[in-house]
Amino acid sequence: MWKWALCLGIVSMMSMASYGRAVKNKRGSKVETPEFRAESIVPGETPESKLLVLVGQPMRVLRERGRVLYFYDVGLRGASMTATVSVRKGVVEWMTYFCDEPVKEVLSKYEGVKEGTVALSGVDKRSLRGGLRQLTVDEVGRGFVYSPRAEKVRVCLRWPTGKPFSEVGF
Amino acid sequence: MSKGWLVVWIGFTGTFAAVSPARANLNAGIEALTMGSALGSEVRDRIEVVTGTTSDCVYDMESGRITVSETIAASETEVVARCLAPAVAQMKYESIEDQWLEHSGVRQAWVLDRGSVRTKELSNKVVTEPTARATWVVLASREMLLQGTKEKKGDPSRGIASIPIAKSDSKIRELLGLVN
Repeated sequence: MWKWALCLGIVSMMSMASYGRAVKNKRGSKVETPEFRAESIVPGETPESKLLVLVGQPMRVLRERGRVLYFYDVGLRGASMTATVSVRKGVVEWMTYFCDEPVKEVLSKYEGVKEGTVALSGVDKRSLRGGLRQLTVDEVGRGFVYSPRAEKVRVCLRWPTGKPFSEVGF
Repeated sequence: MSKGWLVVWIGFTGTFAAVSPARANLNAGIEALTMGSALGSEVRDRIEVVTGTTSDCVYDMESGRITVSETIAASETEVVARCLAPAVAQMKYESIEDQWLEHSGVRQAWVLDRGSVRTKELSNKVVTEPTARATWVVLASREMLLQGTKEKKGDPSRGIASIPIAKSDSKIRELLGLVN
């Protein structure tokens, strides 16, 4: 029996180690904080004060037009991308993060999908036609951005359920 | 169609294509940009000359093709190359984006903006607005045109004139798939 308890203890310690990552606190000692996990946050409900506990230390924080933008390292899955969480009046308003769901799956999974195109800002339009595609579902507060030539979604968007996408953001 | 007629037909169309001045100029422009590299065959596979277009050289994200107007296709090598370079850079960006962002030390964040999405780049020190794609297009175009200029030193009949001599970037050449 004690062997089983020992195994269980080792496994739980290993899982805790892989879940968290070490950051230094103000005194310089290492503190374990959780990795960014999109499912830990509920837009419209999660308070700003819980973010550190839920998704760990942001890599950058910016204040912009009445909002606080928290940028998180998404780790190995998307080295050059960040997850972004926008907080307004102390509550998470929306978030964007790296994801790789198949586009076909998204289209078959949700009803009331609206299609649109993402404008690529700062790009020389004379040499480029079209843009990234955007699928949004107001009923569930979810959106998906993908390249027209790719089969998988690149960025997932989430905002409070039922709120029209056209009213979310700056 | 019998074998004999097929041979005659292929010969006829081949001869016709070979003497087409627009295609010859276009090929010369592609060659000047890519210098026999794998990028050249990639461009040739995706390029299309279209009539009655108002845009000269455009990469279409939807189809993955580059369209070139008839006027440009029939122009001098340098004109073709200069027009094509940004569109070719746009085409290449699709496959090298992650490597480019990593190389640039840029982290791309996505921001919601009332019914639309825009990107925000987070460099290590400051937030820069021009997107990684735009930076890539400028630098990759310059690198391709520079490639032609270097060749011109050895062979005056080839290459792209009037590009200021500047330092070549080996990483961009690598991402473009240009032969060193």
